[in-house]
Amino acid sequence: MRAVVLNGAREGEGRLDQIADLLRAELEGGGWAADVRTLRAITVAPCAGCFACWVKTPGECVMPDGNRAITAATIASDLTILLTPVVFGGYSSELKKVIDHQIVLISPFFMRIGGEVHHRPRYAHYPSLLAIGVQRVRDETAAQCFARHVACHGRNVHAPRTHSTIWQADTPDTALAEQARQAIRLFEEVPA
Amino acid sequence: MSPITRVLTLVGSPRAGKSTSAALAHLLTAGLAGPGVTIEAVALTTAVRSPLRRAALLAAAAEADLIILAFPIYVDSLPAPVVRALELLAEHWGGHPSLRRPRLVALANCGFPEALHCETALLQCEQFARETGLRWYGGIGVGEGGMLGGLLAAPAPDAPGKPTRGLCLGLHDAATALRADRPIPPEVLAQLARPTLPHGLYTLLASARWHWLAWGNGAWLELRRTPYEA
Repeated sequence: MRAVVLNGAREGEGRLDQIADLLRAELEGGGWAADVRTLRAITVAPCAGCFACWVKTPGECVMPDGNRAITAATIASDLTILLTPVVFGGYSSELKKVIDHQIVLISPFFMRIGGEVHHRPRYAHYPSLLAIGVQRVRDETAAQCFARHVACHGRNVHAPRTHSTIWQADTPDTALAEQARQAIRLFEEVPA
Repeated sequence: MSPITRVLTLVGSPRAGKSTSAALAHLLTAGLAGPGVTIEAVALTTAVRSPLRRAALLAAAAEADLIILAFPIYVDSLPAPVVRALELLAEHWGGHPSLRRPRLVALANCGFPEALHCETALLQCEQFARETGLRWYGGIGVGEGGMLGGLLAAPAPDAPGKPTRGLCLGLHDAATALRADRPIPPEVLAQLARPTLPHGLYTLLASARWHWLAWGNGAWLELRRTPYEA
């Protein structure tokens, strides 16, 4: 099984880089193929909102930068792990710049899911979604907002299973490794 | 707190002044205009790109009495350049605790028929206000953003019989509250969340538009393309 880890750490957030390494070790230890991408090191221009990826080059962004390879890796995976500082209850700008481009993975056309309008899938298979939000200081309101954001995101990208969790940056590595194992275990048997 | 005389609109759409976000913000700020009131607009996608423009953004934010953050919903949340701008603003205010904190209104629009898809992003804006010490004056969420730009560009969008009349009157009511230095009342927010067009009509028109655009681009047969299929 393949997992892609999208590390949304900003400059100066080395703790998340350490956590990304820890995730890689736990994934590989569990028999996963782990592909870790440090997003701040990859050139990705902001989404231009042009919708060319829907009506001009369907399924692919017209910008020939790092967004394409990340998107390809995402859709080819069984599990996408988003690792990010919790920024105002959401994703960091580094992570969001990549997520914004991933509307290429869905159709422009609408459907109803649970009484709400969403975009139809483009692909037959989508990866499950695990979002790990890291906080330096515990903020319950931000944590709840983060959980809500991830739940909405998972619905919109047709993830078969979505889970979010908040980790504290000052938690020792041994404890984080156990938390990682528990989180990954949730995805080891995902219903079709 | 000082009265609202300096209004700063931050437009989070990459289409800047030509966007639906800018059109909605303009309607809101039109209700704030008056003697002694200055209204400045900054396009965030370009503002975050250069050190000079970032510095200008921070300076303008520090001088504002009211910030209106207008943006489209990208994947359930704020577009990345808007997040970046908020990160910069939070860092700036955090490093200068004595700087005045303006009021904040968020104005989100989404391409879905339902305004509820704006709620998560508006909660994030409120969280930003909480973390930076800004006074939260309300989050406006509007659906059917894919059609609003065209509808609002038509003459007299607030005229009786126009589908955008309710939206225009709602933004006027929001501006009335802000002029009185009050947060936007919940009933006004609820009014603004109501659809401009019937949902079924909106989704039909939206689908037709995608087909039409794809046809014009010679991509109609490719609409269901899956370039990353293994």
